Amino acid sequence: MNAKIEDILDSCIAEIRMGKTAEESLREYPEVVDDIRPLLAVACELQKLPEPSASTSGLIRTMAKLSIQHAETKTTVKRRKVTIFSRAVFVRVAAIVLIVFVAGWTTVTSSAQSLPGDMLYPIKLFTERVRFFLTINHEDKAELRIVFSEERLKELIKKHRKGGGIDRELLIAMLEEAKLAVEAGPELSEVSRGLLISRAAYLSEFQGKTLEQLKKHASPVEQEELMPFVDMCQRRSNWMREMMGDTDSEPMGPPAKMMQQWMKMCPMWQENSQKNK
Amino acid sequence: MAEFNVNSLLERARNQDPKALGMLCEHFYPKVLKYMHYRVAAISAEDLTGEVFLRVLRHIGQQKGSFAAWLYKIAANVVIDYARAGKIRRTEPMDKQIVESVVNGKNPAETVGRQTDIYNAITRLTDEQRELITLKFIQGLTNADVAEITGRSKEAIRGLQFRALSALRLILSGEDKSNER
Repeated sequence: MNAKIEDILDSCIAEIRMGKTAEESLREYPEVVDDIRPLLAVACELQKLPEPSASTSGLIRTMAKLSIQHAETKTTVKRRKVTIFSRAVFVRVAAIVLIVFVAGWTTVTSSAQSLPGDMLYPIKLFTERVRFFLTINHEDKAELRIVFSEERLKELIKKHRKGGGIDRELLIAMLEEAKLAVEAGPELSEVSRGLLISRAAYLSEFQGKTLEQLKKHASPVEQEELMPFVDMCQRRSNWMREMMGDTDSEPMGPPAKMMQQWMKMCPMWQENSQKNK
Repeated sequence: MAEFNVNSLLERARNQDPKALGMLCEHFYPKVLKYMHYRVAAISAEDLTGEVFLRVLRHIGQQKGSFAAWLYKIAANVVIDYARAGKIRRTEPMDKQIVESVVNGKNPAETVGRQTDIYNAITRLTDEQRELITLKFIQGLTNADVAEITGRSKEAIRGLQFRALSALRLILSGEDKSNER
């Protein structure tokens, strides 16, 4: 019943607002006239309550406050922009850059010792590609190719020592890098080209000899696999010596320090060299 | 002022145009003052109305939908905040405005006496009843507007309206003794 009275009251108020009198609005609800009539009377009286007079001084005071607040808001917004840029954002960006740099540097350093099949090996290759991409000078690019070719040979020996067998992919990559280094020759000056061919000739000879040493410790199947690569290295070395027109002279070798490192890595070859001497 | 003009003023006010903000304030000031006049003691109404417009200025950029409904929501929040802080005088025995109307000879003394009784009766309602009476009967808003401002359903508004008018009738007829403060 209560709910019904509430709805009836609301309906009557709506009709009064549309221009009907209280009695006219109640005609449809004779059963609740006595309950609703006094409430409608109160509602009508409420609607006739006087308007409070808005004092001019109050309005002026409010407008003045608004002007001050508006000016302060503008200043705060400007100040906040400068603050956000100079402190919070700068510190965050600097922290992110630092973290990325440290994490990246650590990963790249760790990946330098990785071998094919390691999780970090793709990062090592990627780093090499980036180094190559960032190198502009043709001479330096050719030098990088030679370094990469040497690196593949190191990886091949390390992997074999760890019992990983002969990695054919590494052998191919080694020869490919050396070939690309020589192909950069036409881009260089005559002197630089001569140095590059000499360097590549030594590299091929060195790689051939290293593979021969490796062959001695390899299984018959692996020996068969290594044979064509040893031949290829020797043929390349000879071809480059012929190109230099100096088949008797020794090609220009790598620095002594590098040679020492190689000797440590290839103890069998070291023994062999001593015997030869 | 036509609704179109209010919308155009609002657009400019959102971009912090001081002239548009001033015009909005001038237009809505009497309505908010009237709301405050019946929601709290008349003596606090002007101060609280000023506070409403300061909040409007601060948050005008976030305003969406009906401006009037948004404005009364802010006004309701100002009343709540001031009530919590204990800064509002809830009742006054006689409304200054009604007394002034007698002095000016606008209304017969009998009518003025009745209006004073109604005003005093309103001050004895619960907060939610007083809010509804102010919005619906003093400001003349629809149930939909009141529902949006107060966050209640239309059905709840109808129920509250019935209870508020019943309470007022009892107070005015002198039958209500429990609600006397």
